[in-house]
Amino acid sequence: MSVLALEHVGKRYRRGHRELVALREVSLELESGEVVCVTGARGSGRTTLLRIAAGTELPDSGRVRFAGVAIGDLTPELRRQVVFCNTRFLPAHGRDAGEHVMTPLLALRVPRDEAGLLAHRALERVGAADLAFTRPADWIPSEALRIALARAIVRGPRLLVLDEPTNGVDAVERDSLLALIQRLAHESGVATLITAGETTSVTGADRVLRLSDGELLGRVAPAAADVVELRRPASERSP
Amino acid sequence: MTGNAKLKPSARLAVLGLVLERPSYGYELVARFDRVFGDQPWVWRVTPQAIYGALNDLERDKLIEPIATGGAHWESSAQRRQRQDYRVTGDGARAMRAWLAAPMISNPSREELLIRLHFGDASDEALRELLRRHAEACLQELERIAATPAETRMQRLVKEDRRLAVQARLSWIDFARAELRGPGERPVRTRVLS
Repeated sequence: MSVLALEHVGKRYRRGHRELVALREVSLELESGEVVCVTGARGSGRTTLLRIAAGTELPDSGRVRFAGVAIGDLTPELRRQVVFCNTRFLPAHGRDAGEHVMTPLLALRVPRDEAGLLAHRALERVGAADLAFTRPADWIPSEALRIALARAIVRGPRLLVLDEPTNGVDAVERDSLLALIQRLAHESGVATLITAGETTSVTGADRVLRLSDGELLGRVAPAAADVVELRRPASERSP
Repeated sequence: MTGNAKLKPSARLAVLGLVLERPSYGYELVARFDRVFGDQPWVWRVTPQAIYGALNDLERDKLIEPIATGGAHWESSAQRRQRQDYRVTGDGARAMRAWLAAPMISNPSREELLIRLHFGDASDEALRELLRRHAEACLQELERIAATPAETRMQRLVKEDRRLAVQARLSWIDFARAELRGPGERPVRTRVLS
C-alpha cells in the first residue's frame, strides 16, 4: 500500500466570472522511503499539489489517501505522520536550535528531558549537532534547512513534504543537502515529496516529475522493482 | 526498421519530409528549408551543400527519385543538377511515416523535435502527446542526472551543465503546451490570487 496516493485529482479556482484550472486529473503514488521531486514553473499548480498532498487543501475531484485512509478522515495520530517542512520558517528570537527542534514534541506533552534528547539525536542525524545552542540570527540558509529537517523528522513522520528546500542555499552545498534528504528518506522509510520551481532539487530524487499546464508528467507511480528495492533495509540497498 | 538508420542525420529527414510535401528541386528546397526551420538564424541552419548532400544520399538510398521535368534540358551537368526535380518513392514515404510513428529516442535533438512538430500528425492532441513523450524523456534524463554521483569539480560542472540543458527543454515544453492550449483555460499561480 502506498503511503500517499492521489487519484485523478482536479482543482479549480473561481475568480470572478473566470474559472482557472490548477490541476487536471493528477495521479501520484508515493511509496515508503522514496524521494519524489515535482518540478514546475510558477503557475503550473505546484503549490496546489503540495497543499493537497499535505492535506491542508481538499481537491474538487478525485481522491487522496494517506496510508490507505481518505485524507479527510485521518485520525489525529495519522494526521501527525504527515509533516510539512517549512524551510523558510524561522523561529522566534530567543530560542536556540535545540528548542526549535523539540517544540513539536513538547506540544505532544513529551517530557522536556526526553524531548531534548530526541531533538539532539535529530540534529545529529542532519549533521547539525554543533548548532544546538545557536540562534536563528546566526544561521545561514543551509544550516536553517538542516535544523528545519531535524524538526520535521523528530516525530518520525511517514510523509514529509518540502517546498523548494534548496531555495537560497549555496549551489555548491545544494547537492550534499539533497543527498542528506535522500539518506533520511531511505534510512527511516519516510516518503518524501519535494517541489521545486526549477530542476535544482533533482539530485537524490528517486523519481522526477513535472507539472506542466496543470498536468503531472513522468513516472507518477514507482515501478514494481523499485518498490521491492525500497522495502529492503537501507543498509542492503544498492546505492 | 532499416529505413531509420538510413534517415539520420536530421537534415536528411527534413529534406525527405519537404520532398514528401511536394516534389521539389535543390535550390527550391534550400529556400523551403529556411522558411520552415531556419528563417531565424538561431533556429536551425544548414548550408545549401548539406541540402544537396542530403538529396544525393536520399537518392542513393532510393528514398527519393528524379522525375523528368519540362525545363530539364540544360547545357551543363551542373545546371541540370540544380533543376532536377525529385519525388519521394514508396520506400521513402513508408520510411518517413515509420519514423514519425516510432517512439522518440530518449534524448532527441532539437532538430528531431522540430521535424516531428512540422511533419507529424498536426492535430493538437497528437502534438500534445508528442510533447508529453518528449517531457517524459527529459524527466528520465533528469533521473539519470540525479543518480549520477559528482565527486570531483569536473563531474559537478558536467552534471550542472546537463541539468540546466534539460531544464531549458522542459521550460520550452511548458511554453509549447500552453501555446497549444490557447488563452482559455490557463492554470494560475495560487499565491498571486487574493
